[in-house]
Amino acid sequence: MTRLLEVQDLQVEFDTWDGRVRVIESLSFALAAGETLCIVGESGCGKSMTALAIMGLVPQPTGHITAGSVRLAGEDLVRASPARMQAVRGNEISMIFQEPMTSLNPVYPVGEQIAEAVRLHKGLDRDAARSRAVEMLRAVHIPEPERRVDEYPHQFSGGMRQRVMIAIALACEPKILIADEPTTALDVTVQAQIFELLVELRETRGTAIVFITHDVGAVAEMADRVIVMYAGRKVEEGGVEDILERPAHPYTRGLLACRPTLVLGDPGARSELAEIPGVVPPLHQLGAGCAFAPRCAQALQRCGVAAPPETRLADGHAAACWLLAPSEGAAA
Amino acid sequence: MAYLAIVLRRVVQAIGLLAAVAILNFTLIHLAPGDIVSTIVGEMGGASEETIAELRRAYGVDRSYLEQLGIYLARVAGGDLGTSIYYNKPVFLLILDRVPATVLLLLAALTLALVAGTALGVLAARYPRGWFAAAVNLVSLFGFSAPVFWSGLMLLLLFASAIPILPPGGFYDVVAGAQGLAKALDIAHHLVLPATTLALIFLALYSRLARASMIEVLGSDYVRTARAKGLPERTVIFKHALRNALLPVVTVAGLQFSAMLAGAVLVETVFTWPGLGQLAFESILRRDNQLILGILLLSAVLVTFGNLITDVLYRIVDPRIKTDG
Ligand SMILES: Nc1ncnc2c1ncn2[C@@H]1O[C@H](COP(=O)(O)OP(=O)(O)OP(=O)(O)O)[C@@H](O)[C@H]1O
Ligand code: SF4
Ligand SMILES: [Mg+2]
Repeated sequence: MTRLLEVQDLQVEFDTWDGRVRVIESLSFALAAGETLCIVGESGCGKSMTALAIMGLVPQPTGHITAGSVRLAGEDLVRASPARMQAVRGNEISMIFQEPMTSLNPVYPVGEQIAEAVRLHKGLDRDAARSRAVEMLRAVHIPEPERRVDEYPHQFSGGMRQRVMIAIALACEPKILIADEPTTALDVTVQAQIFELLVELRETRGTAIVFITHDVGAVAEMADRVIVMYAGRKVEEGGVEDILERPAHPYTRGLLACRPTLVLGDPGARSELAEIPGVVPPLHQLGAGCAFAPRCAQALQRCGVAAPPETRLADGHAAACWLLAPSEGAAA
Repeated sequence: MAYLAIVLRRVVQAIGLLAAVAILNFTLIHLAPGDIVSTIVGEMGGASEETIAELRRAYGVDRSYLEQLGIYLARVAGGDLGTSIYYNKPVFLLILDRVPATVLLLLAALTLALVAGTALGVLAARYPRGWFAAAVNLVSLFGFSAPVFWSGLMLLLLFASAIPILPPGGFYDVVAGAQGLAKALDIAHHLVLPATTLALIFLALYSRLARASMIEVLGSDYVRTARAKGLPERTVIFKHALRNALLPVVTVAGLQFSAMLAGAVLVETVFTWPGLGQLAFESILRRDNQLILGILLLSAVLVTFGNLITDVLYRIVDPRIKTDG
């Protein structure tokens, strides 16, 4: 498997009133060209921060990448110069966001917001960039693109704005698209349309996608592989069948157990999972052991003492849980 | 075009507003104790009952309030602002004579306050934790709380007396008698102190406003999008953030235009700047009612016009406001 993107031992910390908080802890995963990787997990588990860290956009000045690397075709982006990162963003790696209503600049026409990226990265002149903008609006199925290219964001609905964001992201034909819960803020029917669009664009363009979601239905539809995150750590990783049919980690099992509410996009499902009591603990209060221990029905004595190592279960399927660790498996 | 219709509607509204202002002005002056005749009689050192009665008839102050108001409004509507009793000249000409100096002062101060205020605010927002932001905060606080006559006098002492590089007052150097470009430069030289003094109050307001607004905008989702596109920081700040951050500044600048005109009265008095403010100040002392009324009306026109311009500007900067309002 050629590794287009490789995240290794990534660690992100924030300066807060409670001191330094580690929001991402030794996170490693890889993405192959053309592959779709889903990142799932409850609200606040660090999905967006992972995406921002890859983009080099961890909020300044309080956030820091304190360890690890993000390699794009071998080049470490964490250590890349600001100028190099500008050349990567929007060109080799693009990102669309959770908030379609506010992610477009209200004072510029949507066409200009697509065209400026193309002018910047591809050196196209104004006319060519504008044609490209129209072409991209057509590609994301916005009706009458020649007319709408000059309209402003407030003249578009939420779903249409997310389509414009996708057009911006894909205008320079990036190798990787990071989609951070692109449908969370949208109506259910519109959600389905955006999924469809992403699937279609992936087929036609071969873009690798990091798809961040709460929605297990979306995982089944989109994913080649899945990583499950909890409190800033990866707890399980595997192929989509591994995760959906043979989930190994107690947290993953809990997530899948409340699948129906997640599929409906019920906002209530975000705060407390039906099958897992309690909520994610404040990150600065995490102890040395398994972060999931306070909520885990199967917790062992040692779970509160030491963090569980990652155990390889099958080819490409691994989970971090003491229950699965070779010496403990039998005991449980 | 819908746009033209809006402007037209605004103009009609403005005329209605001006009429209301004219009535209010007239009423206030009418309510103030004493009138032209008592002033004239005072100057004369007293007069007989008959003379007073004759004067009252001659100046029309023997009529009822409503009659006088009607006559005044009809006159103003016909473009006649009356005659100044002090200068014995048409009020309109006296005002016309002073308008350029005031407009020059206002524009210079407004430009200075807007440009410098926004620049300071943006820098302070960009580097929120540095000494620069702290300095801007301090200067803002100072400019905001120091009264005009005090900061004006301090600047006067500093740059016209202690380090005499700027003229202490006036419009241009009459003695030198320069013409053309030399005269323009001379006026600009005289403009520095009054414009700076007037700008200082608003500079404080605009820089704080620009800073707050810029900080908010820099944290917005669309700025994150701009960064995610790989735009250089310069483009992110000046193209994507600044234009949005300017919206509240433009609005407040428009709302504050009348306050700026009021500030101009004080500044003109401190620096003997021959504008409307100085004229107003003097005519109030002289009870030159026609002239006061004329100046008040004209200030109202200026303010209304300023608001109209703000409105148009706002529509240019923010595409979301197109047909409403
Ligand atoms: N600016 C910040 N300062 C301090 N902590 C932050 C900051 N931004 C995010 N965090 C913390 O980082 C953690 C991860 O946040 P992140 O936004 O990545 O979560 P998420 O998984 O994307 O959640 P959601 O599903 O709600 O989008 C959270 O605990 C959050 O509180
Ligand atoms: S390590 Fe222990 S606490 Fe953590 S998930 Fe496994 S069993 Fe539960
Ligand atoms: Mg998120």
